[in-house]
Amino acid sequence: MTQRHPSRALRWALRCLPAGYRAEHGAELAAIYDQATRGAGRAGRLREALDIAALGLRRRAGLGSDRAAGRTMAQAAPLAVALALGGSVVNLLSLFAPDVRHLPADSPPNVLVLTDQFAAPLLWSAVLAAVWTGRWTAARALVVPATLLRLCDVPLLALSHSEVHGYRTGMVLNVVVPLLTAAVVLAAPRDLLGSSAAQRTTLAAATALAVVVWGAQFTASFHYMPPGGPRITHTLWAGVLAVALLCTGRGRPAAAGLAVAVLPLAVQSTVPLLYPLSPAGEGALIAVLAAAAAPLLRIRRRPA
Amino acid sequence: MSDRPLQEPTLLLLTALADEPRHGYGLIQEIDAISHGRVRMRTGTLYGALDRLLQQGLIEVQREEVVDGRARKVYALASAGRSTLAAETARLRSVVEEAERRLAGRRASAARPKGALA
Repeated sequence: MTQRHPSRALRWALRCLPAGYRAEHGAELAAIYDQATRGAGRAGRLREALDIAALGLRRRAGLGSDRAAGRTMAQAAPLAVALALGGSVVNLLSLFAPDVRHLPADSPPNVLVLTDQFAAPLLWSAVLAAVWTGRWTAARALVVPATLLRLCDVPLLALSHSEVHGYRTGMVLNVVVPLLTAAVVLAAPRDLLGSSAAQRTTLAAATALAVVVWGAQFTASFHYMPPGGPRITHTLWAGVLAVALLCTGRGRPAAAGLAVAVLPLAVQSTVPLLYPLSPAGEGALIAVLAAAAAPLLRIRRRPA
Repeated sequence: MSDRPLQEPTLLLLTALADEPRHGYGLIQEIDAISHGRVRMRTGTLYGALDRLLQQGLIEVQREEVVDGRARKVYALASAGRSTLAAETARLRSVVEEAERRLAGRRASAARPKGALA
């Protein structure tokens, strides 16, 4: 071996592994790393170390590809991409909905938010195209700027919308929802991700689902409905989540994947309905999250 | 194993082990060669996949050896893995044969003079 002492990047990556796993496999992982990075530049060594760190984090979270939860994440990742694309398109279209959003392009923050809203669907389209063709490394690399773009909106909206009723809830959702979506895509074990005819069919179905549900919400935003109308459409994602969770209980891994993928959207759509949260509303939210978490935690504990 | 098609990383790993047992870095090199440089499996991804295939009984640790003072495992295809790879190969072959048959049929009809009867 030419490299007897592990590099700083490798030491850091190995520290991400659970202690027992590191004791059992650390030496072999270090040996493979040494051979795989021989002659590689700093970027190559860093990528390799990051991949080992990702393995460690997945093992700590119980999301290894040998676990049922890892498989669920692999099922959820492509669906989350399709649903995020649908969300970004509707977010863009909502700019044109009357009486829904007021973003006059007369101040720098608003201009930047508008630019983000045009750029996000383009980025998510590129992610979906990469997933469709099985280029998962590119897809996951693109998810990072797509998420950062959404997070950039938070300070900008805080500057331009601080006087708007309920903006704090919006700010929290603007942080939580993109991070949840990115976590689903990035946490899926790479060796379970690919592209197959069956997966492309599922991807097309998820995109269609996103179009229907987001479309219903968008239409409700355009046309004023009798009291309860628009709010009913905002509970559609929660309904999809509930159906998926019911099916998860019957041992359908694809349904579990759908539940995980839909969770960020269910949070995004339903939380604003609860604002301002009364004690009863908080209790209902906790009950919903606990109901969603229970079957998902059962999956996490189950071996594949 | 389910009867769903194997994901490419799994297929490449099983293929890399089909002819002889290999250690971790040997698998990375072999996958690179089989995929003609298209798939470069990284250390963590490889290890995650090996954990899963071991757990599924598709591969096994044939032996552990020490090279240059470092322990490493040599992995081999288990009989379940051989069956899985054979089934996937048969499935892919039938798809390829069908694609070739249809392409040949299309070429033949394109080469036929206009107005000629089949």
